[in-house]
Amino acid sequence: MTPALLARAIVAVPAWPLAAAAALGAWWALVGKPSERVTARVVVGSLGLQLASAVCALVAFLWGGGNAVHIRSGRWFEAGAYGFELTFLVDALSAPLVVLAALLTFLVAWFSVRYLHREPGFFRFFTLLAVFAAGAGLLFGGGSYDILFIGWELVGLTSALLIGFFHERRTPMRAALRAITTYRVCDIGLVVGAVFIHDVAHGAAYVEAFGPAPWPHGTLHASAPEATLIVLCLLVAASGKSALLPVGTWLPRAVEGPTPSSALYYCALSVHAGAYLLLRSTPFLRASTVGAACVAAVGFGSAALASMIGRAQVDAKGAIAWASMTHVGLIVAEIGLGFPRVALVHLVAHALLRTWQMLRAPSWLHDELALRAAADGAPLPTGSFWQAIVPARALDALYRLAYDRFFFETAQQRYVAGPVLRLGRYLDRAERRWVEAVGAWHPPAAPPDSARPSAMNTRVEEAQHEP
Amino acid sequence: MNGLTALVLLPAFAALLTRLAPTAEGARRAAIAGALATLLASLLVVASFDLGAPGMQMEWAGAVVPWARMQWHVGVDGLSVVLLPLTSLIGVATTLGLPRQSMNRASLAATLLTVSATLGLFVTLDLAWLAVFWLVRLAPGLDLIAATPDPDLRRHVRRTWWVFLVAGSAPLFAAVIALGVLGNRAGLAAPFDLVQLTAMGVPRAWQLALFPALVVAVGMRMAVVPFHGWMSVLLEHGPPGVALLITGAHVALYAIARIILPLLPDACAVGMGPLMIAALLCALYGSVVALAQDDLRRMVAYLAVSHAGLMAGGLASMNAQSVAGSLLQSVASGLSLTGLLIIIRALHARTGTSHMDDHGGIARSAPRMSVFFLLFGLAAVGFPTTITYVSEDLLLHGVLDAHPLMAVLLLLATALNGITLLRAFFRTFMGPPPRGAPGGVDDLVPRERAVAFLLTTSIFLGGLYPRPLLEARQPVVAAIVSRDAHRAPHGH
Repeated sequence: MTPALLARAIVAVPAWPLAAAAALGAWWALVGKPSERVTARVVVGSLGLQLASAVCALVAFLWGGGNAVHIRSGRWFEAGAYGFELTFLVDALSAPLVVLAALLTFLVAWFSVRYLHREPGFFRFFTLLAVFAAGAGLLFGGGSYDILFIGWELVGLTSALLIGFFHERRTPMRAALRAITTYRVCDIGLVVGAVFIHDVAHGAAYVEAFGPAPWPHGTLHASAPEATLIVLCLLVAASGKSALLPVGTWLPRAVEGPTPSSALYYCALSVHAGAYLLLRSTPFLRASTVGAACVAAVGFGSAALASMIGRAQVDAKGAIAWASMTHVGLIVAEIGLGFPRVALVHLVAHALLRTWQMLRAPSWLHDELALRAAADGAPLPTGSFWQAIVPARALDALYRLAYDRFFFETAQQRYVAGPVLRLGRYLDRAERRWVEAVGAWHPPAAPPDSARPSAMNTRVEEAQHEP
Repeated sequence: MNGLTALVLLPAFAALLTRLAPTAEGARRAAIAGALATLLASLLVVASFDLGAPGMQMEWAGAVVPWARMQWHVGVDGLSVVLLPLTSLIGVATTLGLPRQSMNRASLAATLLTVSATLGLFVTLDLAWLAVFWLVRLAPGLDLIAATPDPDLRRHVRRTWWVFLVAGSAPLFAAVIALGVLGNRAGLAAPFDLVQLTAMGVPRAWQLALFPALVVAVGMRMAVVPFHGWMSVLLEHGPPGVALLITGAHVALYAIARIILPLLPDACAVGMGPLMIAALLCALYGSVVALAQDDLRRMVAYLAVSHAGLMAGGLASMNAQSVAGSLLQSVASGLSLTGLLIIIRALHARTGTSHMDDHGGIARSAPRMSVFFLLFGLAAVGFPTTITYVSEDLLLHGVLDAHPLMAVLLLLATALNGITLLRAFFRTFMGPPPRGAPGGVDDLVPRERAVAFLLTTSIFLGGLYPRPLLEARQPVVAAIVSRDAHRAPHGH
């Protein structure tokens, strides 16, 4: 048994939960919904095996003296000169994060067995959790941007489906749609970035793009302008997934889902995926000052704004969500400033803390009362520093803006979503008119649209003041 | 008799049995048995096919008909062999999976006849027969449109059918006759024979004249902008069974790869550049209009237009990745859009409407329907592990190599398609049930479930193991690319 051989356990990390999800899916399709006990055992068992494999990979990495292990598993498909390689990488960045992901997923799954007992969607939750775990394993353990993308998409889809978990209500549906729209649009950045990396480095695998030097060092074959372009593309993708402002307003709405999934996605793993992407691309950031400056600016801006908005929240899960966004902004800023190891430590610590906070959110009232009792009933002195410095009128204005989340969502609706939908409707009307002219057909008068209760009308006023 | 000829005649024979069966139930059984037998036969053809070997296999040439000079010359290569089981699978899905009330005896027979004509189109190597099949595919549908109850709507659909589909085939006939004349002048025994015409080559002036005609004919059938008007009409108002088969863009794509690219290489070198841009703009157009739709069937129609644009754009880029991706996308699009239409028709049969806002809360009463819709939707937009992901990945790499800016159109189109489908899924299947019908919807019956399962398995198997599909097409792709590379000094 050599370290290189043991490091192959990383291939098993996404395989266990994927097998569990496939088995559960096949059982459901062919036999019927399995019982809570069976579902829980299959999923938690597979996650335990995933954790064991992740720990093996980490041990292998440390045992091998901290040398990165690059594992090739062949080609998935190819055409002409291009081929999709299946590669995995165990190094100083991926090994701890894979263990973190496996540990948190396992703990949250174990927690959810009790938390979601007797919930009608129990089976759905655990199947989606298994698919997520496979996606996270591919995302953090993958050895190329292409594998990362697959994990990224799996995490994004399960994220949206879990936001809409309580699908009998409208608000979770809208929140899920918001999330998936942001993901799809921002993922264009990831796809474009990955293809540029293919061109520049003649391959999207990390060892091809960055050479054999260990993370965060790397030798680039790209010029500064190319690196800048790649960094900006990846920043767009990271903004979508890690909920950096101005596109990240979907995250506080995403806590509509069950608490364990909110904890796992928006405090622990999914929200840090963008930060991981930027961490992995540190050599590009080092080659491009403009790119790194943009990353730092977006990170700081996002942190500052999220911090202010978080202070105007009136519910526990919302406050934690904005706090999570604040810290993710800081992590991204640290990456932009050129401190990747600091950012990594911050990421791990933040994930652990925030997950714990979010899992305790339903008991928030109990905790709050205990805290106030310890402070002898006086209000807690948070924010008093700023109150002393910033003038009162400015504070009022900032509060007002924070309450309305700085009108980012209004802007998105008015300047992005609205025009595209209007264009589509205009084109549809034009289409109908000329096709009906060809067919000499006049359709019967349709009922006015207001008669149809549309569940998905995203009215800005309604959306703004929902929790 | 040659196995391929038997394959073509099998569904026609089943259609005859369906028409002659004494009872409606007997007719239905005959149709389903015929469709399944066709699928089995096509899989047998695939099994006996040698992957990766260039050139035609299972060739058989009959005598030349004296006055029309047509020859029953059949054969398959990597391009067509995959399309045979695809067509048969869609035929099975149509006969077995569509609601009983819309699949009466006439519909079943029409579906089987369309399957037969489509299979004939794929196996024939004679241009005249190809043109005949191209037109004959439409005949059963016309028959069914006559059964539409509303006379205004009937006239509308019939007119659309005639103007777009039938009249749109005229350029193809003109081009085929021109090629026949050319073949005759060159002294070929069978002037319409594709293999011989390809070997002979077409003069450049003729190529430049024939290219627009063929492009128009193919564009009409593939529903690329601006020839796409019929797609939404047909899917929304047309007869369900045949609509499913007619909307297959893989027929048009096959025509491009079989006729235009081999026979008109000089014209391609000139014309494919602007065509690629037009096709990708069509893809974006289709996705924007699909986003604004409220009716599920119209949404699928515009998604089909968007896919058609992607496929045409991929072929027009003429490099190995995008051509391979485009050919694979035709399979992927066929499977996923068929699946979506089956589910939408099932829903329509249960609730009487396909409008998204008239539905809600279906996930609770019909979880299987919801899950299959989601899976087909994901397959239609290129989610990883589906076959569409492989094809769109290849398309993207190919287009980006050729024209980087155009790739942005492709990415925007696929992103919007993803948003469209998930939005449709959330609006239709989730959310609170509509006020008028709180009872919920019946879930899929076993036969619908079987069809959906079959289609889903094909999609995911193809997605996880696309190698055989890509290998089968590899010789064709290589031929297309090398022909273009040979032309490159003159063309670009």
